[in-house]
Amino acid sequence: MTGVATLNEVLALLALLLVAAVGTVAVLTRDPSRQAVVLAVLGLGLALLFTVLQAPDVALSQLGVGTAVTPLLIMLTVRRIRSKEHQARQGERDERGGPDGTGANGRGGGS
Amino acid sequence: MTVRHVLALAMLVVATATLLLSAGALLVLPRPYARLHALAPATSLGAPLVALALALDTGPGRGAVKLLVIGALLAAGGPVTTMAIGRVTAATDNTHSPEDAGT
Amino acid sequence: MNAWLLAALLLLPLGLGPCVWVACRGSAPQRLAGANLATVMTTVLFLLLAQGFSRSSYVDLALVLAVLGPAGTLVFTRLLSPARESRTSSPNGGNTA
Repeated sequence: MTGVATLNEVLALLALLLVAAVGTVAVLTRDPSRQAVVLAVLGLGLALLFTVLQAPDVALSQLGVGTAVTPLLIMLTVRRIRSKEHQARQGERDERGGPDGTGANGRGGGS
Repeated sequence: MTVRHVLALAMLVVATATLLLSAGALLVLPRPYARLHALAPATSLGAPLVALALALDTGPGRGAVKLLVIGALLAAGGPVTTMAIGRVTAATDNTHSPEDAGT
Repeated sequence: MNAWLLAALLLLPLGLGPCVWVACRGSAPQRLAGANLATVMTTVLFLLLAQGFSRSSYVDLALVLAVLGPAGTLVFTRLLSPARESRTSSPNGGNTA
């Protein structure tokens, strides 16, 4: 009985250390697309910690949110922003090279 | 009963060794494509073997069928995700020669 | 009964640690290999914990993760590929604007 209890405590301690380490790395990562991968791993670690702490329902919701929804939202946002930046840069390039491509310039001005 | 449990424990030991080997290979192999090879033993041998050992320990019933379904899902998902990751790595690293990067 | 928890105790630091290490270094597609192996390791750990605690309802977690893990990895690979992004963003540049 005590053997099981100590084993459980050691498991909880290991999961807690894992969550602390991955959380620190997720804070220190700057690039959002890399941060999304670290956040997915952090969700896995949190689900594992909740399971060891005998809360499987919380772990189930954390699994659904952390594995599927959060990375999807972050990656969609990053992609949208990048495509807008790309578009803006292309518009600037068209305006700078104005006399060459008048058709592209007109379409860029329309947007 | 005891034979079954001993068999399950032996399979558990083999599966744990495979998973640890795979994790070590992921740590040791330096190149991104070599790292993808480290995923193969874990997904197609280690994880289904763990599911099989647990099903053997549980005995016949609905629980064993569920465990076997989980093992089959893991074995099916491994190659698909490995292929997708390899394709993204090829598209990101050197876009000029994808057929050379695919090997 | 405790062999399962012992295997989980062995796999939690030695199996999940390298995955986390790989998932925290390098570019985003290189991190995906570590994240993918981390989902497989976590699924196995859920299975082992379910048997070790003798709670058969914990198996549902492993089932959910076995379905959601590859789906999440495929989402990442779909949204990280730059060739597809440039191909879809160039026709969309005229449409959405």
